[in-house]
Amino acid sequence: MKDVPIAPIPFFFCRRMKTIALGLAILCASAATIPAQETGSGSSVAGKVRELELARLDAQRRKDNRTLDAMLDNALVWVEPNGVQLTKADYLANLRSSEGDILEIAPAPMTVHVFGDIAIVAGIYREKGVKGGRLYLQRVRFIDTWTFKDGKWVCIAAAATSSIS
Amino acid sequence: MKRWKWLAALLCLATFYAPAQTSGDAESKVRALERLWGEAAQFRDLRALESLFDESLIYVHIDGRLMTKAQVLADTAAVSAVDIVVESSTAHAYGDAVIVVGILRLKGMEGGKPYLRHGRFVDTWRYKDGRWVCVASMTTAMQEGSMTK
Repeated sequence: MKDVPIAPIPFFFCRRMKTIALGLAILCASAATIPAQETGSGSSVAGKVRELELARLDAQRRKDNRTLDAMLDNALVWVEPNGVQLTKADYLANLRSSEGDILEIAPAPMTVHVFGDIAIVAGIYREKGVKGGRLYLQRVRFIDTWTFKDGKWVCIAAAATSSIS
Repeated sequence: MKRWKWLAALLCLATFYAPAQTSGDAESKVRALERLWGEAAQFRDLRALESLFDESLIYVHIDGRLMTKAQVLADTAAVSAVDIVVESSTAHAYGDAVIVVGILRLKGMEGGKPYLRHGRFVDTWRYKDGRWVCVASMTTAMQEGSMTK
């Protein structure tokens, strides 16, 4: 192999490269701090949160506490349709120990509003189950708030009411 | 000189992406806005209410009605005087969002008859364009026995 002589880089090229390097560094740093959901379109985030909401309702029906534990933030604010406020631990414990069975949770079309790192889901679902040997049916209106935290969407507040006008 | 340039560039970035305020600041500001909301609703100050709500507000009234911002303002203007007292509330900040949960008491007249209702509210606030605005609010009518929980 022959040694190829390297021509010296002209001074103005050196300066330009430094400027480009500085620009690239700023660009990379900016990209790293952009919230993850903004890299996609708003509608794709809405779609993802909608899927999570459906998965949450399904996990609630199946009393799948492990799935719910991963979806719910530890500081979750939970309000039952009768106005009782529960912590995440209370909600999961109640679900685990409840005697009744939820046979079906049928959500109606829901709306999702995305505001940067926050997504609001509003909708109605119909719940059918058995409690104390008796069949029950209730309609619930809910508003859930999700936030993008530590690389994933988690539910931070879930409020519901059985009064539907 | 070169080092200063890098430092200045990083400082600019840090400032640009810094959260609007600390969690404690955000929580106390939003709780103050919640008090303002109660007063504005009580005195039917629509201008004040308008400034507190985001254009895409999702609102669920204590009676279960799902309302837009325009509907909330129209409803406030139309109803008779309501005495609104926030009995307790706590706030939790998540970056540029704050969740407030609390209990409110509504006292007024409806159809010539006095009423007293208690509701548990959950409000979501968002820091937008240099100020806090409410993007979602739901009040659930509290049934007997749910007050202490």
